[in-house]
Amino acid sequence: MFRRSVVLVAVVAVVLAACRPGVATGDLQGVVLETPQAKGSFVLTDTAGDAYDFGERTEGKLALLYFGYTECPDICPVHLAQIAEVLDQNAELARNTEVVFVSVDPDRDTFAEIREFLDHFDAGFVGLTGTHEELAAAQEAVGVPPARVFGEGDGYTVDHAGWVLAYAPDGLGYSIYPFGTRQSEWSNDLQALASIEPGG
Amino acid sequence: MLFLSVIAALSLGAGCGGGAEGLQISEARVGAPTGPNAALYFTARGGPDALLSASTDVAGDAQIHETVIGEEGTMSMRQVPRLEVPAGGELVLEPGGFHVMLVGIDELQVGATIEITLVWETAGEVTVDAEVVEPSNTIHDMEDE
Repeated sequence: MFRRSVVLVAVVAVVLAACRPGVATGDLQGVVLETPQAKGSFVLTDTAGDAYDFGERTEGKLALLYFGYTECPDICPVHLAQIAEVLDQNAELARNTEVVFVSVDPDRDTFAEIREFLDHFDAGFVGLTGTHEELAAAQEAVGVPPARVFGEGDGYTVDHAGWVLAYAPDGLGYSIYPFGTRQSEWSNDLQALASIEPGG
Repeated sequence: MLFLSVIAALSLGAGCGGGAEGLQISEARVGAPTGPNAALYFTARGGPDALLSASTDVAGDAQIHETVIGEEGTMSMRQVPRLEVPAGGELVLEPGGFHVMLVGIDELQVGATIEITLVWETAGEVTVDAEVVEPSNTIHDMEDE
């Protein structure tokens, strides 16, 4: 059902970085990018109310970045639950991984609600949001299409990028994870990506 | 809420007999709520029939939704008026496709069972028990090889 090629085209179109030879991506089971993508830089506000610089805070770590909203009952919880399950079984991997969830529904999602949502998966997951302008800048910086509100009144839904971005500890994104990624693929790739060290 | 209770009571009274003979519903499951909404998934066989609406005591509203992929790869939830079970085929509700969104759901623990009334064009009201499962287990079929 999931058309991976659609996502791939969308992402490859905004690839920013030059290729870095020598890194083996053949073991990756996610959607491997033709050209590794440099980690975009943005600053949003975390659930404690503090400024969070994505580039700075994830430096040297495996970083997983996902845009969604807490009222999303279908695909958002599945992505986050799958990642949490892998990290739950590998303490060392969990220590070196920063999972960042950005709410693109700042009009409804409060910091407390984002925190409560993420705590269902892992209390260590970072929750961010910001103004509409800040969120637009963050999505542009990492090359995902901007989230859009659909519908009117309280019951609106938010269209948003359906895939998880992943950046290895060397600061490059080699692959993305569309909805439909299997648990075994998550497990394989998080370990493979974490082993791509800075300067390696 | 009174309205929902009445519906549930009526459907309990109706039991499993009557017009529901041909329709079989399996794998009814709800992802444990992580926010104000949760999603119900199931598989239906024994059409032709069409799902028209749903209700449950544990949520304020229940809406039939489709998750669709936009041109840029965005995922979008859209409410749809009905879902068809084709004759001789099946209707599968699963993450990333169709679901019944339970809006304003109560706090529910994994392992609990909730009762949901589905209203079908031909079969009428059919009440099913759905198990509350971990969100990652809503897609258990995908792990089957």
